[in-house]
Amino acid sequence: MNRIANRIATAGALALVLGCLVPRGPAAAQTPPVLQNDMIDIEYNEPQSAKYKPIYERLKQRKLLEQLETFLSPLKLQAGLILSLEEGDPKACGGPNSYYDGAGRVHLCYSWFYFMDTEVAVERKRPPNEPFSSTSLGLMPGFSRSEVLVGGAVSVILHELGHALFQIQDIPLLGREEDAADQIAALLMLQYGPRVALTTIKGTYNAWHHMNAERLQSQKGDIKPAQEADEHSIDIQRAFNFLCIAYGKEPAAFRELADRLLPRARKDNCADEYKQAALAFRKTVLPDVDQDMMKEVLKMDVLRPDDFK
Amino acid sequence: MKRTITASACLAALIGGIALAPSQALAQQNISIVYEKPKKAAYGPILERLQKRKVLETLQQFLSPLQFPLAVKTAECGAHYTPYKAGGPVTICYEFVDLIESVLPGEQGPRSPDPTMQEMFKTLGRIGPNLITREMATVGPFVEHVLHETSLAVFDNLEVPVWGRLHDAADYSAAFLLFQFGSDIARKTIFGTAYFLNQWDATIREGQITDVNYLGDIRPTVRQRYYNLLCIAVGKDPIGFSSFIAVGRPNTPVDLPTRRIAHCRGSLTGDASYTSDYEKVRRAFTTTILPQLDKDKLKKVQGTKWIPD
Repeated sequence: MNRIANRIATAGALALVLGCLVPRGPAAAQTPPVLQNDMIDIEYNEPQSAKYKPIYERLKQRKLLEQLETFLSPLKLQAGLILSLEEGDPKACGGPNSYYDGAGRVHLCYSWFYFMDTEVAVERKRPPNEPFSSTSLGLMPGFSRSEVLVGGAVSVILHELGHALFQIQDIPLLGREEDAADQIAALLMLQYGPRVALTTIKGTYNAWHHMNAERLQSQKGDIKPAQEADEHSIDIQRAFNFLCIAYGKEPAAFRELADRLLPRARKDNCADEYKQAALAFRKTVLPDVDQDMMKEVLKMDVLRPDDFK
Repeated sequence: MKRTITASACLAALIGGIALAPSQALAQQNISIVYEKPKKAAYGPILERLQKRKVLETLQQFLSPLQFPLAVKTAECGAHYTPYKAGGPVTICYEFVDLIESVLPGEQGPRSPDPTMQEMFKTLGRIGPNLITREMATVGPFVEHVLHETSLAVFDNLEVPVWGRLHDAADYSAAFLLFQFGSDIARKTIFGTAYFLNQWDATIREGQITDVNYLGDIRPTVRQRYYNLLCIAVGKDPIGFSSFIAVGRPNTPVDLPTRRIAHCRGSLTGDASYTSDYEKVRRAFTTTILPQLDKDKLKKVQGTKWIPD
């Protein structure tokens, strides 16, 4: 029953992520540090909509926010951060969304998890002999429901946490913040081995493919200037960005996917794109990470066996 | 004849107002320059004009605050760009200069019942309600392109932490730099660059906008670059660039959409707060790049009139 919640082990994932980027220091202290961060508060807000209640129950039972809080405990935050699971304002959370409000609160909307569960991680029927295309919805061939549920959830959580970090830690941003938040999410997904990386990146790619296909269908296969004006990259560009960073870090694990889905010229640049993000992380985030606490966070489990199905 | 006039105007504007020979004060031995001879005969006149106007010598002076070895060259690339690789050089392709000239305002100016105005309009282009001179449409994109390519080299050599896609960061940095030499220079170069990007997008859009190679490229789409440029401009000077904001008239593709404007200008009210993209870039530039520049030479560069009135 804990379909979504069981597939989200964000805290452990993030822990491993950060851990691999943290230079190994001297032997751990005798007494393990307490994995708490007084700057972080969590809130499970019970939804009014009946359709979201099972998600609320599962995520609460799974202690998703507690795990996130633990994961973030090594961060020396310069201001308070609230992690809120909520149905939220219909204007902001009505469609599939989550967001950081710039005022210290990450709003994780049930609508996003619901959308992944009921729209993206679903096998759609196609007419016989019709190949899966840029306008095809749902699960991509060779992708699993578990991957989409895990990747779709982890990517949005890490993306919004990225926004929070950029603002709270006053991290210098030379590029576009929305792409930067995707970069930090991708980077974090890749730091705990190719198996977890494949699961989360594939799920993320599928989520953005689906969003792109929906838009192409509604616009008769066209991309409108309004999409290009958005502060976010075009959905399929976001899919490419995640996959490219992954291929740059783990070429063996992602070669088949990259060969199939990335333009050749882009593939050649992926190692540099990963290095760019890793350098930015090392210079702007890592200085504010307590490495002793991080070692403890690293001991947490990551994804569960079911998540890899 | 057309090419001669436009390139001359471009280059004259680039170096106008300063001595043609590099000044002693800004001489910089670590910046090496080369004009490569093109194979294609059509690019010969472009090379000659660039050499005659001492464009690279001027750029050498402009870059004098940089304190690392850097090679800059003009060359035939086989494409509009040649990708910057770690260690350089910075390459300005003859093909890109040719592209700028190919979309300049021409004989198809706005119509007017007044014959005198009609004659004047022959040398003007339009973007939205703005009239653009050929000089603006030549100088703006050329200077922006040079700053973009140089920014890539600066990121590389100074190991600047870049969050977000690299070419967006290079465009943001270029736009930021265009504002550092007074509002008049900013207005002329940004209006000119906006005109160029808008025209360029119009020539390639059909058939390419949904091409996976175009959307998956390391660079954003041309129209994304257009909106990114305006985003920085409106964030810095909303009055000076208000003609790209649709107030009291229908929104068109040349306008920055309302939703994007909120992010470009920043907001400190309501449920969400955002810092303007211009301010983010200014802060990032100040903390990551500025400390690594030669301050005395930077003052001289800022005090130099690089582009004539």
